[in-house]
Amino acid sequence: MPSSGLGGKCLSKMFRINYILIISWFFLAACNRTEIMSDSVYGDPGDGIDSIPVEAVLAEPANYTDRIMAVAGTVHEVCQVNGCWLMLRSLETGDGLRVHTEIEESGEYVYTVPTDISGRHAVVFGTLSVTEEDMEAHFQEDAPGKDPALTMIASGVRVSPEETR
Amino acid sequence: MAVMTKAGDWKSYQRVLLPPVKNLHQLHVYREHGGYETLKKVLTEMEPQDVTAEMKRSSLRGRGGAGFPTGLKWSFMPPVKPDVPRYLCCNADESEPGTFKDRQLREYNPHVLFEGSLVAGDGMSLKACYLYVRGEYADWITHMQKELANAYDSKLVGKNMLGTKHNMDIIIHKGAGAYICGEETSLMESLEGKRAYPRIKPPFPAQSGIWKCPTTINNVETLACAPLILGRGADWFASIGAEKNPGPLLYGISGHVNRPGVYEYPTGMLITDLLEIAGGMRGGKKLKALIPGGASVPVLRADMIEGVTMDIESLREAGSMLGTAGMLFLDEDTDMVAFLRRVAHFYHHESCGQCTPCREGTGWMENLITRIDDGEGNLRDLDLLLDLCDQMEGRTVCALADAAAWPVRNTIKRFREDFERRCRPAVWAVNA
Repeated sequence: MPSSGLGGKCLSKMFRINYILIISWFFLAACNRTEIMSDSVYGDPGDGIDSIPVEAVLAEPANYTDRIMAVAGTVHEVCQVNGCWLMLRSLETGDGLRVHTEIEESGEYVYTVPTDISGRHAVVFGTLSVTEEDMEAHFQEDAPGKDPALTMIASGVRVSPEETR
Repeated sequence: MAVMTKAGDWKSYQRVLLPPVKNLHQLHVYREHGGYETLKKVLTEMEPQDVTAEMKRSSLRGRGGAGFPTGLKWSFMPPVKPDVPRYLCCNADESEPGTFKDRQLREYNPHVLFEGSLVAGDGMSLKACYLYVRGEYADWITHMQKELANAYDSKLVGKNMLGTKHNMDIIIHKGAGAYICGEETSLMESLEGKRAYPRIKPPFPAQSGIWKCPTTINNVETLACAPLILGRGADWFASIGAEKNPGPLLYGISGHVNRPGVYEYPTGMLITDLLEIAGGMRGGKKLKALIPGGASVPVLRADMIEGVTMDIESLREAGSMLGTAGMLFLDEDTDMVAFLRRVAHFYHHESCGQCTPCREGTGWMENLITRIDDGEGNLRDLDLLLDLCDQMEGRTVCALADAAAWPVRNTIKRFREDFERRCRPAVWAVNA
């Protein structure tokens, strides 16, 4: 029937318009989301501290130990149990800096990081120190292999949303 | 010649948290002695980030037991979002056995706590503070409510504080007397009107606290230190007591001493000096053991306290913790098995029951220690108790299981002969 034929045409046109509108909405929403994606901060945001690349710190650790600083690098590994430590590694040499989150006297964590941030760019804030022997044993237990001689107890970690590797 | 300790010249120390001023709890007396001047300075002259920076510089560490740097904790609050409220919560649910120092502050100097809360509120850009007080402190709640009402009437709290554009409310919330509510996440659950089960972290309170909003939780004494730091300067505060854990500290001394009570001195005091201040051991008896920071911290034998000072580092080296600085001195006549039985009973009674290792473990702990105390225990029960501690520590949502296991583990380890004497031998003699 002509009327139904006309109705069918209108309906399919309406579906097409709706389809385009829905696709456009998803596209715009995605664009919008990309715009608002920003760094995630865990613990102290460490505002106002200029970061030093992990490569520079690992090259001359004596210049940086025992002072509060910010170190930037790529997250290589993260504690998969609690998110209580992460490893920043130099992409050039493969050397690493082990970063621990702060803990309370009772042994409770005051913040942790997500366990899925490997490959992301991060800036960590804290005091750099040479790894102590008793902690070394714990690291070997957690992540056996080549261990870094440098450790940082970080008061905060800033993780960027995009991967760097 | 007097030995110089980390506490410096403590004999000439002037009290600042509990100064010797009559009727200091009254608003007009508090103001006559410079009260709320720091708040005025903070509201009119300082930016929030300067407040937090000054707190960080002071190196103040939390006085509620965990000992975490306060300024750093404040900096964990996320950036302000206009549509998301933020809260400060004062943990005044002081329930740890042997700890009673915050009660003195609430009774004799409540306005320093209010002022500290308001200063902290400005530092973290928030508008409301909950004071969560344990239910057993009913009299002190009434006392504080009366003084808080006076502060509201004088425009020191609420809208347009001290004639500025700043607003902040303080709400006193009465707990129902559960020890678990002193744990920060269960405290938040209780505030929200739910059963006080601890929450799994993450998310941490700074991200998702009371009603899923950013929240910071501080102890009473910690907040009371804030107006002192911002009024007199971080350098002044950092110059008092132990270098890494500075400031004035309220020592709650109890047990078999001649003059139990709350004493204010710098951190880093020698334990032996504090014992002398408290009048020495009762009846001239010898010291047998010391619990330096509330019932949950490891017990120290008398021979372990020589040269040990009351600060985080020194006590850690000695094999214990500063905790709340609630010092319990036990004399040579103390039955360590009966003492541990009482402690175990407390933790069994106060376990919230959410996690199996804690709910069941604390019960079995009490049963085994009771059996030993009744003279029906076996030597193997001691190893069973230590094994039980292994099964409890680090296996629960909150730290109550650890807090219950530490005294058991350390009391058995450090006073094993006392326990062995009360146990039946492992092998019975057989009559031929």
